[in-house]
Amino acid sequence: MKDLKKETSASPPRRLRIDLDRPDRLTAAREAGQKTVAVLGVRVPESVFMACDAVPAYVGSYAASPTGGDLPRDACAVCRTSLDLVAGRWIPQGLIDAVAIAGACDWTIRLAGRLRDRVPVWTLDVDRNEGAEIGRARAVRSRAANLASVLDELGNLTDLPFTAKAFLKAYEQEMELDALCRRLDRLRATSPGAIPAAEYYRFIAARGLVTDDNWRTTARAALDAQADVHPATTGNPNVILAGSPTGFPESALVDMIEECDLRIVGDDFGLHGGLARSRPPLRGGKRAIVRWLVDELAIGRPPGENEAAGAVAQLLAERHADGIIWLTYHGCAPSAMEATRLSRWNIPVLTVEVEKVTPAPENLRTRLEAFRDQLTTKREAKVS
Amino acid sequence: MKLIAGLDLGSTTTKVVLLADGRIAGKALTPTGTDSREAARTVLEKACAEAGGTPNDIATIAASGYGRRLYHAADKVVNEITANAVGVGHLLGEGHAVRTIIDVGGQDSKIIRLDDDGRMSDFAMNDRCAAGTGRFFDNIARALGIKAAELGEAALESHSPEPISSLCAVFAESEVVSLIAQGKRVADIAAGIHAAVAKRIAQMGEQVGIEPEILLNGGGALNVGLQRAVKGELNAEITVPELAQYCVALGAAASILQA
Repeated sequence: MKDLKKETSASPPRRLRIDLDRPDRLTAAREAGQKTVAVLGVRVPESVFMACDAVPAYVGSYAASPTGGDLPRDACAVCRTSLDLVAGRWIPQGLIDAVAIAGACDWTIRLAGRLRDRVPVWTLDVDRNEGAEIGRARAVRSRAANLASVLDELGNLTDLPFTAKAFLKAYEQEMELDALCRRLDRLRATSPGAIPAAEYYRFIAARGLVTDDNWRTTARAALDAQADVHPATTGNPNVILAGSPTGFPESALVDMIEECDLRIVGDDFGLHGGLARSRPPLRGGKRAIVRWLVDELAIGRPPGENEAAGAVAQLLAERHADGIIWLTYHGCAPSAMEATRLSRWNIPVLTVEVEKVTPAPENLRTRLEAFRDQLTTKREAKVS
Repeated sequence: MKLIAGLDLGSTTTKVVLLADGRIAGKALTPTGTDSREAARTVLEKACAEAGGTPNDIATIAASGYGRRLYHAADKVVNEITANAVGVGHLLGEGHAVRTIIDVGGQDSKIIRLDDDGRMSDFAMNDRCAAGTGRFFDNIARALGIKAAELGEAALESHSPEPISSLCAVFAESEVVSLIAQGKRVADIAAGIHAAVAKRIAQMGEQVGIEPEILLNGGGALNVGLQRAVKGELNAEITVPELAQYCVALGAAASILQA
């Protein structure tokens, strides 16, 4: 068993999370005695790993390059890049102790299968909306068993059994950081133009780079820095950025969206946006936590068609948003289905495939400008 | 004479329409080549000559199309989707009944939905895929050993189109080469290609819903084989305006009148 009393203020800072391709940080975490877990899928509850003093290292990103691995071309860029990164670099370099993947689509499940003989791989079942109500109870039981087994294996890996107390501490840290992110998001929504979108996403992504002794100051400093804001712009159509919840958009993309006179007033990438559930305060023992985690994995979004439509409508109304820009990857079937659903509800949606093979910027600019004109027309029609 | 110029700096062809008192006074087109500004200068001179004036008579220029942001002399820049809707409105007049525009351009294709007031209400545009674009037809014509302009006419001679299973431009071209090797008729291959492209257009149209009346424009609209294939695939009448290639340029010019 690890002796926690040895952890003193003189110890090197222990990392909470690591984002993307930062082998130096992975090395440092391992040298500090922490286990590292590559994570794919934002619905993978990272607090679980933090509770066992393992460091989740997030793999997926909108910056994904499509070079990846030996997966066929119909796999999306996230899966290909993740395989490339984890199997091609992190595992051979001995930087990763385990991999946790949300079983969100067939490709993530196949991806897990390809890594399994090299490191422990935990596939966390998430609700893919395939279950009718009659199969739901069985699905929940299955997810609970799956999760319990992950917690046991994780405890064995880190020699630090999963406990409710440790989990709640990690969870509270995440909650507090999320709350700061939401404040930033709210500031952005209430003071249009206050925060350049690229800066905002840079901060949100950077929250993964904090350590357990500086994360509050890091987050608050970023928030304070944003308080000295630029003048608001008015009149341009407002949009919500949403899409495949695997990361955050690159600066170049959000810059182009703003250059095309579309104002970003909110987002939903599954972490803290209005469509995702905010984290409730948690109490109770391990059983209660497992039950909550199962729900969290099962209900990333409201389950019913009407409820989901209502949640989207509420978000659009709250933010005075005129439409949604849906970011996705070529070949990501679950994401494509979501975008189709939004269109079915008559919400103006522009789908943008964002991997680096995304075509000439002029093509994208044309679509963004036309979307702006479309939203302007709709707004004018409403007024008249 | 005060002229308003609408320039459509397309990937393949540069077009211009000149308006005088709201009416078309001149028009011209030329291949864009590698220098879109030179192409713009050429068409402006030609169109001005047709209008009985000179470039000095141009009071305002609006630029649209793929190269619109490279044309720094423009007083206004408008994207080609919005410009197309405005151009169709100007061409057909207020109260027209077109609700869907299918624009087959050199490098991309678009479906543009119009509301009851003729304003653009939704659109779909291909991003990375070359299938269903002028460039795609050029490549297929080359593979068949005929001129691009002859491809549509060739398709009309077919009574038994060869099915083309792939909608990917690269794979479709390979399929065409394979069909040639099997000794299939050029007319049947050409008809098969047009049918495949029409199917792809219909698929793209599902994103926004294709409603009549339907207008086909862009350079691809001049392809009679494509006209027939789209009509068959959509099982609907389509209109091809006389100025099919000029709608975006016209819309750019007309957008100045709207401002």
